[in-house]
Amino acid sequence: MELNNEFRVAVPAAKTWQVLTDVERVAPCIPGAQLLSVDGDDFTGAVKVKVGPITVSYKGDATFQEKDAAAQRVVIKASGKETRGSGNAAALVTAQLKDEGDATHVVITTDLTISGKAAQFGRGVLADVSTNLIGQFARNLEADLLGGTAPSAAASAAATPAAAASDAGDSVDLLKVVAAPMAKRFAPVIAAVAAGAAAGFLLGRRKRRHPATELADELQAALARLLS
Amino acid sequence: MHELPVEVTVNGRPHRSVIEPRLTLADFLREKCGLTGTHLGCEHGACGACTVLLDGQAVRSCLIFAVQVDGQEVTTVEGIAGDDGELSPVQSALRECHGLQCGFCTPGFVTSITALLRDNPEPTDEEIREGLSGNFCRCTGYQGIINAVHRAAQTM
Amino acid sequence: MKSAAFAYHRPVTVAEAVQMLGEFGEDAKILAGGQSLVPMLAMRLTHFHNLIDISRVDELKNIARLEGDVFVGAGTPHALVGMDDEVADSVPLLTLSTPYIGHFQIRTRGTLGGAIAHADPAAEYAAAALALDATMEATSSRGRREIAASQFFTGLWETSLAPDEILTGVRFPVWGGRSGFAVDEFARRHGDFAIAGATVCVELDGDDRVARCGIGLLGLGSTPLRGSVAEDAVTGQPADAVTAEEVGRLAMSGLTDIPADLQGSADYRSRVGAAMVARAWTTAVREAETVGTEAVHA
Repeated sequence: MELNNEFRVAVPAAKTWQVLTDVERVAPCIPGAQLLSVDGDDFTGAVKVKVGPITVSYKGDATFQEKDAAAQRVVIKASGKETRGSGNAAALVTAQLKDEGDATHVVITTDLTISGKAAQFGRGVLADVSTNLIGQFARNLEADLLGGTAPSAAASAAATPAAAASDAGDSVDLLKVVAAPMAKRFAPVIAAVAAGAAAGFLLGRRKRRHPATELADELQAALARLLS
Repeated sequence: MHELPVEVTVNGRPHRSVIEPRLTLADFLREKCGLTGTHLGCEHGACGACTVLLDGQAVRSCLIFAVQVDGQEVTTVEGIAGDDGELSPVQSALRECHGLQCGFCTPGFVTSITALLRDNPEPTDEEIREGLSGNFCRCTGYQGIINAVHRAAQTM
Repeated sequence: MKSAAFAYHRPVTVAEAVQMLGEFGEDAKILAGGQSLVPMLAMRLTHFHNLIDISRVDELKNIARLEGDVFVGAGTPHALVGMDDEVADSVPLLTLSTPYIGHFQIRTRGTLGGAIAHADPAAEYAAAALALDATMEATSSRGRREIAASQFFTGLWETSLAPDEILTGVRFPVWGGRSGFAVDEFARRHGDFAIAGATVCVELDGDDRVARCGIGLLGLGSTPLRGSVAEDAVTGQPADAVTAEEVGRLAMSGLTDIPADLQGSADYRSRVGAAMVARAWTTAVREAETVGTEAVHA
């Protein structure tokens, strides 16, 4: 099926092009996505999509099939398999950039083939999900483009509330104190991936001495790994 | 992920076990209590084959985890007949009116009809059809079952 | 299929439940009636490491008349809501919606709060809550807050509840005066998810004009919706100024995202939806017209 989305970022096309063709900068902006490896134009990753209580996780690979700087067009071919199931997903994503001076208008056309769990959702749901995802992606992308070093800035921002709260002591409160500002900044990434991986990892080790400081250090480390 | 102790009174007898929380009440009844009268059809709440009475109310045992009913009372189809084995009015009526063929859906119908007639002792045809809309039968075409409900209502 | 393993927790109070939810975070899910969640777990469409079973939190099971509202505790099973006399008198839209929810065995366990927090686009109580402009009460260990129904449903199975919040109850306004209520829904088999449905409340003034109305729509989008275009067209008008068919058509005209799936195309759903609105509107208006003009607000 074909899904059509578009968004605008308040950044000139040249800069947008730069980021969109750099997978290591694009990946952190995709909600629920985790980049696992990069090899030139080929990369592998995992993505977790949440629709209410339902989460579908995919792991797979993708490649830049086309990077036409003259036409301002990027084409990415991606395919993945469900990690907890037997479904597959394949997508051919075409992003067409249009220079609007101080802004860039991006039109995304996705040719999506899906089987398994997610295929039970009608076209409408998948379209909704993709619109949400791309909306969040656009916001994250814009924040990244405008902020420049947004990801690492937030990682160090995490350290401050963590350090402050560790003096307060209580490990349960700490998780909430750290999680709240982090969630706001990186809601998509945190909610889908970090909470699952980091929290599970951290909660499993919480029984150690000095839980508050352990938690702070480990949460920060997990986040730094994800965002680097 | 830890197993938990649970005690459920089934058909008047207490059954104790230590089980995984994810074990449904249906599987608990079948595998831990050895009461295989409760059947698994769709396992998602639509077909009614797993219907049992929980503290007297009809529920889908495939949609309840056994740990949730610790301390409560369950009546399965095995507990519907009298202690001497005498069939209940609902069971007799189903037999007399050819309300069963393969019998797979029957336990769910027995418990559901028992609950329905207790709350509405003289249902109309429409009320019966609506009340039993959550129990599927592939064999009988339902008419015999509906006749059985009328029959049971008369004899009760 | 069977559910994947999880850790089971059973709080007995709301305070305990929110504390657990806050502690486990995204890794936990509230289990109330389980009639929607357990099938998802069993089919492995979802998984949580911790289930917090609130089915035995007694303080969530209550129905109370408070000033101009009826408060329904989130843990109250559908069956109790449907049988309750206070609800039948004061919030008939709930009583009328109840028989459409699944089957009676489902209604023994399924809860009003669970149905609303699960936010299925075809949930009858959710559409009724929208039509009546109900208020949702959300509780976390940070405190309690209220969310208007119009702000509550944010997407497919998504609500504006924070991850550490539990829906603890819903306040339904009591419509007095000359009001009428009706629910109609179409499904292929009784108890199936509706293809389209309408929950309608209307109040007429002394001159048989529409003083206010609510047209809740289910199955016609990714959330329950209101037929606002139709509502705006009829409010302030004589009740017979707009035909029921036109009300139905107008209600559909405001919808942008009618689902298309194996059950039917968007066009089909739209026609069914228009018919459901038309029928429910007719019934509700007829009921309102029969109420004497000297009736006072309850």
